[in-house]
Amino acid sequence: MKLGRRGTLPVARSGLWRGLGFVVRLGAVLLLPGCETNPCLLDETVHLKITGTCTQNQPTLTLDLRQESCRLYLSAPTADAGVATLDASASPSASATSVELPFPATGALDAEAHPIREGGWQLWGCPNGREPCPGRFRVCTAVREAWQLNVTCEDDTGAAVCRAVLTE
Amino acid sequence: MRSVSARLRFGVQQGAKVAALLATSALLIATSPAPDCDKWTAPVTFQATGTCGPGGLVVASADGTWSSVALANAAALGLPPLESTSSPSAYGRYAGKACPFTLEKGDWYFEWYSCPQTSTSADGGSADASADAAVHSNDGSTSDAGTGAPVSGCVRRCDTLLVAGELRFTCSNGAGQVTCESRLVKVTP
Repeated sequence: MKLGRRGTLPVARSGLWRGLGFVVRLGAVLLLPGCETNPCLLDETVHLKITGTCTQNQPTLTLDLRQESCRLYLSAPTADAGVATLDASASPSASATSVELPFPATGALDAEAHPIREGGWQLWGCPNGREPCPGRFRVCTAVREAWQLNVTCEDDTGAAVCRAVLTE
Repeated sequence: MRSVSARLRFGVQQGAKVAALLATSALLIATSPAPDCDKWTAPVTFQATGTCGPGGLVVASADGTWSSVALANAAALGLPPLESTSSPSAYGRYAGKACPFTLEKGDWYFEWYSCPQTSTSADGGSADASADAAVHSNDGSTSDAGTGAPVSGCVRRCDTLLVAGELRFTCSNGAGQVTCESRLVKVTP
């Protein structure tokens, strides 16, 4: 009886504990390497103030840059949509209600997948996202310098067309 | 003693359930299609010069799941729009072995259908792929626009290959003849 009492609970639980232990170990084996090799797990949105020659006649714009699986999506913040809207006269084809962003709306992080604040990322494409757009294709590259991001945009020939400074 | 054996049975049953659950999970994981490359491949910007299109900046980007490659501003190389990997009429693919993909070292290509509108002008030695880009069919079919009959030689293809440290972009028509060649130089941010 003593032996039985001593052995009862551990024996009864051993199956469960072993099973749970195996689950934990299996999870560690399956998930941890994925975390180590995939730097694209961080998703975030950075609210940016933009000044410079890319904003045309607007002195300052505020935009949201969203990082999702190492891809980037630029958009005007909902609350500040009016602020981010450029003068419609700057783009004859744009309707009065459309928002023309100072940079292409999509892009991606660099090879090291540095987060948005660290620079290295690029945005590229046509103003409306549809190709072809001769003369209006842009590639914009961000480089971190001190507390700000310096963005340089080039056209489809590789000539620099504007520069901007991004801060939070 | 009955209590002991009952608890023992309970423990064994629980263990068996956990084992069955794990076996099922492992089976599901094993049968799920694995991505071709699960590491991040950053886009690469190239300056294109040569006889394929007017030249200019292009951005090559990849999706490791299906090894698909997209090319922004494809018109600079005389190609139909390739900005989306879901384009039905043209697609790009990385055929190399590296993971993450080494786009700057080539081994990626594009294919699309570009059937001539008239049978007499089929693959008439057009050196500029863009000349045919406007007539590619949106559904990827290779039938003659006039008769609906299948037309051979509609597939156009452009390959990238590293030659002596230089990335070459070479396009060929349906007959396998080289129609143009450009050089891609990586633009360092």
